Amino acid sequence: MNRKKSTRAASLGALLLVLLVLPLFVTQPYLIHILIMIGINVLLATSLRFIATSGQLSLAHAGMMSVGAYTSALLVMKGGLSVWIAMPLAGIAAMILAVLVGFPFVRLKGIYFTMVTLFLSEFIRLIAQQWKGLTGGPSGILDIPRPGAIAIPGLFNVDFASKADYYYFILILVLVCLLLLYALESSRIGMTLSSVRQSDSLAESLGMDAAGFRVLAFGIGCFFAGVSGAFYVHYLSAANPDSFGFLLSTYVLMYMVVGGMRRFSGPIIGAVILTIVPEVAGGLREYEPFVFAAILLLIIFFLRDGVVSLPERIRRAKKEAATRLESKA
Amino acid sequence: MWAQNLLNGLTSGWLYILVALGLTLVLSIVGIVQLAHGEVYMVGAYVVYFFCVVAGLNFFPALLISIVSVALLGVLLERFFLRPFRSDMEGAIITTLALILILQTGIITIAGPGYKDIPSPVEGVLTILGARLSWERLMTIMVGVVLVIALLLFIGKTKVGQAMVAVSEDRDAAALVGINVNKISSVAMFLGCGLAAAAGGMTGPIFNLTPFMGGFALTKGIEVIILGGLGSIPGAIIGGLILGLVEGLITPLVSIQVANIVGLVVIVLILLFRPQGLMGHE
Amino acid sequence: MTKYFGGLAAVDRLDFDVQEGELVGLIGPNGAGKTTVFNLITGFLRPTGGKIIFNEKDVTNRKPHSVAASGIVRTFQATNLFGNFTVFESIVAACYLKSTVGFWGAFLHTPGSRRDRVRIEERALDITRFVGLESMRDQRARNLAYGHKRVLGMALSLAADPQLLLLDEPLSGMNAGEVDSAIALIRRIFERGTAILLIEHNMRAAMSLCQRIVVLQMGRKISVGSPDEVRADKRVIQAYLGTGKHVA
Repeated sequence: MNRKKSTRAASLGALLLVLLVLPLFVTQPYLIHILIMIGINVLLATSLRFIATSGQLSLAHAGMMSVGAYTSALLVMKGGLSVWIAMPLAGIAAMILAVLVGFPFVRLKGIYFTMVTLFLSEFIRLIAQQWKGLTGGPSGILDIPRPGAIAIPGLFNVDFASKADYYYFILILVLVCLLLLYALESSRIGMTLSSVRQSDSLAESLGMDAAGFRVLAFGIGCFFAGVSGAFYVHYLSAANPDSFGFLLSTYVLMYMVVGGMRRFSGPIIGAVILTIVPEVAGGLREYEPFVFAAILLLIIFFLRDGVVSLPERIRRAKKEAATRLESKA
Repeated sequence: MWAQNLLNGLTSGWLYILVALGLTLVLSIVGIVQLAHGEVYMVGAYVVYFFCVVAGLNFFPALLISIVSVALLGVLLERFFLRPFRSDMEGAIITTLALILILQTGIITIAGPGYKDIPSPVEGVLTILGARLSWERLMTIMVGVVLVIALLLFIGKTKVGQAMVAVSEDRDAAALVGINVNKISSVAMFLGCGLAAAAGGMTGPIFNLTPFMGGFALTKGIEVIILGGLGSIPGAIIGGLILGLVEGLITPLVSIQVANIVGLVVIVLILLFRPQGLMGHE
Repeated sequence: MTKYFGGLAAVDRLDFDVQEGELVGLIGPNGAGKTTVFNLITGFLRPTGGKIIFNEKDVTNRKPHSVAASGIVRTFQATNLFGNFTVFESIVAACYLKSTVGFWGAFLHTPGSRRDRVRIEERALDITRFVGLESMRDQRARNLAYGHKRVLGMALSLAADPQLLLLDEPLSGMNAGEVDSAIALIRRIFERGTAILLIEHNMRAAMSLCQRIVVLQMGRKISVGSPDEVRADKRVIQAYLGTGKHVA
């Protein structure tokens, strides 16, 4: 067991090292942009999965991103706050909304919860589109400021003029958020969420407040969606209601399901693969949805538990083949 | 003036009813929330466009072709993409999302993303008591009424129809008494997609077609069945009429977006506080 | 307590009590409302009328998790488990009420949370041994044989440390050997001081285990007393004979 743990730690460390020095070798802005988008999608997919650990599929992530995005932009532009303070506050704004609607929402089972989160996301989008005074209406908000510069004299000065600066920002942000989410999931809280998912009646009979834990999971998941949204608009310097539509929520769901919901690393892998695929498709941009649909169907029919379950599937297939050979011998 | 709004409301209402009936048939008999139902509606509209505008057929034959071909397409979809996920909600969501992508992108590839128009098969207005009612909309309502009556008769008077009711109430019990649940699911899908295609086809002359019109239809369909009660056919009819009429009469006073927002809020409130809708049983 | 479903009284002005450390049986023909009684006591259903008092506190309209926290834990008639967890993990999870670590302690993985984990795991191991499942502690719950699943269900409720344990047909579907060891287990639980309210169709078990028996028919209490008294009660015999069953 210990050897397995140390090899895992070593490979994670190596991965971290590679990620840290990547911008030294990858200098094209377009490629760095893809890396940044991967970062955002990883955070979105992992936070969506956190909600799913309590047994509920949410399609509200786009709306929560939107709430985070506009809150942060407005806090900075109208409230004069620094981006560094606005971003976490934006996450909190999304979380507060999630908790408020969460209490009635989590009473709904299965597909009805999913439906109502879809409606919520759509509602947010329509509000953002209509409330010109607050959100700038369909054209949104432009010229959103960059994060304030961080300088350690003599060492470095990061002013977010180049994409590489944003890359390091999202890298550190994602690492911290993943750490937080993993800490939650591997704690008794995570175990209770999993219990609630497997049987909420049993969990209730044993003293667990199923509804309360579902609201907790929903709130925390939406917090990270809000933070992602805030980062997104400070990176692109523009916020626009159509960036946060139904399609985005379904894409995040896809990252999670294709990567695999059973393990923490699943959504990460899914986000990486599905962010890169459309870029590689390149000239076939119009066919991107076909490719996505094909991948979705392949996974859902042949690898139900996602890409991350592939090693185990292969191992099991090998074992079965070996036992079959033995019985033949 | 208000007569026109009333007519518009009734027209939308009957279109919503057709979509919602299809959705509720699939939901209660096939057992899946068919998120791609809006895309089926959209494909129905485009098939009419192709046969009517591109191939030069008359509107009504084109509509008939659309209804039958889309219904058959639905049967195929149910057999291969929906049936395996009857008890797997997450899987069902993913497959229907994949279908949305395929159908939408397919139409975009064939017909392009821009607006298309289907010329109206009937021109002119009927003038009653000073109100000018477009024949187009009256025809839509009439066709809608005929289709719904046909469906009600089918369900009430035929063996297959009764079997459908049985499956919708208790699939296992129905199987136990010898009903071929798979065959009934296919029939339900055939009818449901046919109704959606009919609605799509009749939308064409009134509104523009776009490959993205499916989402709107799905939202309205879901709103109607939540309002009227999931799995309830009378509920879908009453719900559709209410939604259509309210929209027809309220929208001219506010804007269409505000009407949409209010609609969403009402639906969510119903889901939370009276989830069985107006006529459902829970 | 009274519970109406539509116009039908599933439970009709039922009135009984369970004393500390007592083992009371709740029997009656099918459809008599026994599981409904459990649902009412534990907050899964709200009574249409009446009250449930536990340890001098009114627990009537509380949510199930709140009732469990007051000390009443139930099992389920149909198998209800944490399928993906192993036997051991399930019991650890079921020790939720015994865990003293709060949200922040758990989240930050404080030394206190680690000590709590060790303590809980020791307790879970004890329970696993107590119910006789330690040889399959690392098997996934959904892969267990049916009889073992029922025992695991009881183990989970024990993990929540109940003062009053509601067992809903724990012996149903078991073969003769499993029934005997389950009866022994129930007796061991009872001897540790837990009060038990037992729904059972297996008459031999109910009569041999229970100190007192309440008999329900169509939601009404038709008899109460010691096993011998109830066995001889004409109304009880009538209720069972009427449905083709006989009292052992």
